[in-house]
Amino acid sequence: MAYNGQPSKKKKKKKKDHYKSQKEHGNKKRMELHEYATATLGAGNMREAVRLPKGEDFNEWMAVNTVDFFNEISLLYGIITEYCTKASCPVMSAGPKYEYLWMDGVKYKKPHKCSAPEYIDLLMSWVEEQINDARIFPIEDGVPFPKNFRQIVKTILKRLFRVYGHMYHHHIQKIVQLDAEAHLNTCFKHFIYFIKEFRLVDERELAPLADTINNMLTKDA
Amino acid sequence: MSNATKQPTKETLEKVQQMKKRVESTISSRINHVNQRRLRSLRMQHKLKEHDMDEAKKNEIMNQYYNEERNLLRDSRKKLSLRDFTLVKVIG
Ligand SMILES: [Zn+2]
Repeated sequence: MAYNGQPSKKKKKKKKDHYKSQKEHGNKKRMELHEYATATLGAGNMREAVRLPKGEDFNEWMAVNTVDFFNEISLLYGIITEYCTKASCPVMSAGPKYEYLWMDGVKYKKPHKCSAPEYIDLLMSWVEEQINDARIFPIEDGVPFPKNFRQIVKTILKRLFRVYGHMYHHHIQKIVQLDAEAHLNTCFKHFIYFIKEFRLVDERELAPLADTINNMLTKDA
Repeated sequence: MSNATKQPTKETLEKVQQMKKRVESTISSRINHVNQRRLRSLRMQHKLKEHDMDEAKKNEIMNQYYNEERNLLRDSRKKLSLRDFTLVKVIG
C-alpha cells in the first residue's frame, strides 16, 4: 500500500458529533462540506501524480486518467444506490441552486427531466459507451486518437463532475455514516487536480462545489 | 425507524469494502506508475550519458523508450476498461 497516512479515527468521530449538532441547528450544508472535505487517504503526492510524464502523449494521459475517474465514481456512487432513489432525489441536482436535465444529443435530443438515479444511470452508461468505443479510446498499439478527443474528454469530465456535485450535496451524511468520506475526498481530489492542471472543465461548471474545491486546494498549497 | 438512522444493508456494506479496496488500488497504482516511470526515465538518461554516441542517436533511443512507455499505458487502460463491465452493474 502506497499511502502515507490513514484518516485519523479520533478526528472523524469528532466530526460526526459536530455534524449532528449542526443538523439540529438548521441547514448548514456548506460548512459541513468543508468539514468533510478535509479527510483524505493521505495520498499527498496526488498533485505530482496528475502531471504529464515526460515524453508522454497528452491524449494517452487524458485517456487513462478518464478511465480512472469513471471507475472511481462508479464505485463511490455504487455505495449509495440504496439511498439515492426516485423518492429521495426526484430531480438531479447539486444543492438547491443547480439542477440538471439529461441530454446527450443522440438518445435524448431534448432536455429530459428525471430523477437523480435515472440521470446518473444515463450519464454513467453514456460515459461507459465512449470509453469502450475503440474509435474514441483506441486500444491497439499505434492507433491515434480522434482529432476531437480533447473535446470529448472535456464533455465526459464535465458530466462526471455532476455526480460528485450530487454526492457531496445530497448524500454526504450517508457517506460519512458508511465511513467512506476519505475515499470520496481522495477520488475527488484526484479528479480536481487533473482538471485544474489541464483546464478541462470550465469554472462555472464547478460552481456547485466551488467552496469545497477552494478549501481543498488552499489546504494543500 | 427513519431512513437516516436505518442500518445499511449487508449488500451496501460489502460494496463499501469493495469500493475501498479498488479505490485504494487505483489511486496507489496511478501514483506508483508516475514514480516508477520517473525513475526509469532518469535511469535511461543516465545510461545514455555514459555512452559515447551522437545526439541524434541518443534522441532516437529516448523516443523509442517513450514509445514503449506509451504502449504500456495503453495496455494498462485496456485492462481497466475490461474491468468496467463488472463495475457498472454496481450502479444499477
Ligand atoms: Zn441522490
